[in-house]
Amino acid sequence: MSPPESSQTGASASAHAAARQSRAVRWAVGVGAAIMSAIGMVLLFLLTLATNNRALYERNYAWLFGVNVLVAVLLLAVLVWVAVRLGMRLRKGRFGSRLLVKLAAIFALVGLMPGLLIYVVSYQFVTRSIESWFDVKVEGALSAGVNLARVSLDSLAADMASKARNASAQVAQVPDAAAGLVLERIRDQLGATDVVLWNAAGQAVASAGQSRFSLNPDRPGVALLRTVRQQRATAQIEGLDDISDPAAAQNARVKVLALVSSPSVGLLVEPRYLQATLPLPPALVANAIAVQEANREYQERALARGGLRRMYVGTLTLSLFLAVFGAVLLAVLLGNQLARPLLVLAEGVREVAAGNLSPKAALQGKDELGGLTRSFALMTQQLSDARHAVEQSMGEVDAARANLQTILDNLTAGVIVLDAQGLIRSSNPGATRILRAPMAAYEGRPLSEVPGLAEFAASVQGHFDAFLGDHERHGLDHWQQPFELHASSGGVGQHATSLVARGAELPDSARLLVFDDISEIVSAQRAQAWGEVARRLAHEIKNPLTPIQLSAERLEMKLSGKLPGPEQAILAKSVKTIVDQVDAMKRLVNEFRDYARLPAAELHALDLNALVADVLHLYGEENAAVRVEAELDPRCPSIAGDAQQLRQVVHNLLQNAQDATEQARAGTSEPVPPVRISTRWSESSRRVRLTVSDSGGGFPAHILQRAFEPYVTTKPRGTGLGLAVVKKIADEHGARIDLSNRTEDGVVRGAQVSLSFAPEPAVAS
Amino acid sequence: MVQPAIAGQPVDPEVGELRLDRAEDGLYLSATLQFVLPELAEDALYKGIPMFFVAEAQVLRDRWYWSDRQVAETTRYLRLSYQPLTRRWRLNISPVPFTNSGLGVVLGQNFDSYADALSAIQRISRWKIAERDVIESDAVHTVNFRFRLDMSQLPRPFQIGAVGRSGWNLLVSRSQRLAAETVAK
Repeated sequence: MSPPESSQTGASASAHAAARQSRAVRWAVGVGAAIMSAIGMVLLFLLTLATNNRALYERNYAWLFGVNVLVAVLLLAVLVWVAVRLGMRLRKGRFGSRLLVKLAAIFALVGLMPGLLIYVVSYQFVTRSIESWFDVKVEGALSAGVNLARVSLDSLAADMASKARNASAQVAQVPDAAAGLVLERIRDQLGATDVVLWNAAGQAVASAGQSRFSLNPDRPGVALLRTVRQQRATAQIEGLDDISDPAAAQNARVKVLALVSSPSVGLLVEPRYLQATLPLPPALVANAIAVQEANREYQERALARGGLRRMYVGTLTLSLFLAVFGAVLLAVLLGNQLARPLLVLAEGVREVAAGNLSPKAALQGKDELGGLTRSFALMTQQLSDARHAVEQSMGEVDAARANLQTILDNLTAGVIVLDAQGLIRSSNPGATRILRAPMAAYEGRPLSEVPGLAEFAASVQGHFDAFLGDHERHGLDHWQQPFELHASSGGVGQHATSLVARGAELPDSARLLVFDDISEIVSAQRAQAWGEVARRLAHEIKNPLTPIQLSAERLEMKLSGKLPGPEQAILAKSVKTIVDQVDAMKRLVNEFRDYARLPAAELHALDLNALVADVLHLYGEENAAVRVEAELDPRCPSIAGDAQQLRQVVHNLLQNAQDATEQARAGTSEPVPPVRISTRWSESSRRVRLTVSDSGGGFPAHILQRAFEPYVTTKPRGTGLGLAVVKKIADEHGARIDLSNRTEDGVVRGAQVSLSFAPEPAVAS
Repeated sequence: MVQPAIAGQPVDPEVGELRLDRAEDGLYLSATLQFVLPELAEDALYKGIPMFFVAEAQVLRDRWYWSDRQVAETTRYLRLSYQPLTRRWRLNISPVPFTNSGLGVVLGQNFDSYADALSAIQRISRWKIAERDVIESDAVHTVNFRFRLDMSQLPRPFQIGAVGRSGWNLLVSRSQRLAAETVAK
């Protein structure tokens, strides 16, 4: 079952669990009812035994037994099914089946043991007690009683027979016709109910009593008559054939048949027979019947005792089976009921351990286990809520951190976080750019291991140590210090980077190092300082130059022709030298002055292409060592510019390009590649771009950075003011100036300077 | 004919003679049975416990196209008891099973000896087993006759104790064909 994800499916899962629970309860109730009914039948069974209602018991035994066997078989089948299911679950390693088996085994044992004990005791009891019913003495007594009864009945009958024989003498002399009266008297004497006189042919001659009214009374058989002729009298007990009839005692009678002895002993005289029916004393007969019935029943039971025992023992065994099966089945079901909260709990714990905090099923039972499951579900819910809250705040923190990271990544300043041991914890791309070292690769290592930064690292460490030692006392929260990186004694010609570093302490004793590249600021400051120096120097130098020149020219003028030839030549040469040098110095000073006090640009609408073309007249092929190729974009709009100053810019750039090309190609016989000048209108950026590129040696890296500073030059002879002036003019025009090396396949092929001007507003719009 | 019961010499129970008589009003069966009562049953009789017997006759008409059809079935119930007080034997014969509530109005015969009573049981004469109209003149019939000791009327413990015990088993049976020409006579 896949864990439900939302609370809604969680609710449906708990509803499902509730349905399952109610089904289990229905099950338990159904099986319990079946067991109860089975036990009830057994109880009825035992009840009939106990009340000794034998007839009911025996009549219903067969179907009762059958029903019980059926119930037992059903229970056994259910039990086997449950056992097989449990076994399969156990084999599959289904969670909780081991606990179920254990519980079922315990309950089954608890049910089985007393059942077995009672069974053994009852078995012994039944067997012994059935045997104890039958006793030789009792049997002897009963048969003796029957004999006694028979003997007394027989003697009574014999007595009656002899009386009847005696009485028959009275009829002997009486003829058939007169016999009726005598018979009546005999009946009175004997106390008989009925007296009949039979002749030899078996015909009633006369009768007295009841049989007088019957037309054809029972005729004695021929064999009987023959017996009577020999024994003179016989007695027969009648009316005991159906002793189950309660009236048998009243109906019991003795039928006596006596031969009427004829006084005249003649062979021809037919014998006659007197038959008398005498009632037997009912009390005697009743007792005899009772004894006989008791004997019969006793004999019956004695003969059937095996069957009886089998019956009882079978019943007992069946009840044992019923009870045990029922107990085991109930045990399994109840064990299920008991184990279910535990299983629910364990399942929940397992899910929680696996990280699934979805709502857990809770049982509604009132017992402690149900409460436990509810508490667990509540706890899981709270845990889930807490985790949710944590995740939310984590997400917020992550977002903030991403924010911060973006800010850090885009800071121009470098940021490095160091731990207490001076190991780099993190850095931003700005740091990599400024320090010109892949700082990200050195995370987790000391700053001093980064190539070229050992000195910086030591210094930073020193500042941090001092700061951490001091800041308690001074209450400062940071230190700040400028640094010169990659600096050597060479000064201008190096890759020096000026930094301002600032250190602060972070929580958990980490250290924050922030630094800015201030090289450009320093460069600008330097340029300004140089301009001031140049202006003052020019002023101071320029003043004495004119008197020097005038004095020299006057000397020549006054002494010319007054000196002899050789001296004249010396004079002329010296004066010329002085004047030339003063001129050169003047020019130098003027250049300085121009740079220092360059007039403010007067901006007018200007066609850059026309200006470039104008300038290029001076760079015709006839008077240039290096050709200049122009590539002018006719779409270029007018720009706002000072024609005089821009002309100087173009001159300076072309001059530089030619010089660089010439310098690079000096001593080689290859054809000198041309210098290119181009203009270009960029629609996207809406700027006019003027580019001059050469095929010279390009700029060394350290120059590239400071090329616009005055007196920075690659030429062996140069003031280093050319590009400085260009830069200054570009600044005046609000143009952006870019300086870069042209590279092909990573090899420097030359340098390229480009200026981009904004179009003149009226024209551009 | 009477088969004398010789003690200690078991006789294979069988139907000695079986005769079917065709009369105007029905089919009559006469038979002579040869059996000795099982010893246990005889003991029980002498102890005053009545024994029950059942004689069954079944008339089947042969059908070549189907299983035989039963056209008549008759059952006769016999009860033999000994009265120790009078030392007399009594045989009741009834067309319906005996009930516990007295013998009712059934035919009863008294005998002075066991042998007489047994021979009366063993001799069946002119027992009407089928009405005239169910017997078809031109069909072949089979009569199945069975005679057995009926345990089901004994007290229940007897039955449980006697199940599967040879001491209480008595069953004789015989089938006889009633040919068409017999009827045509």
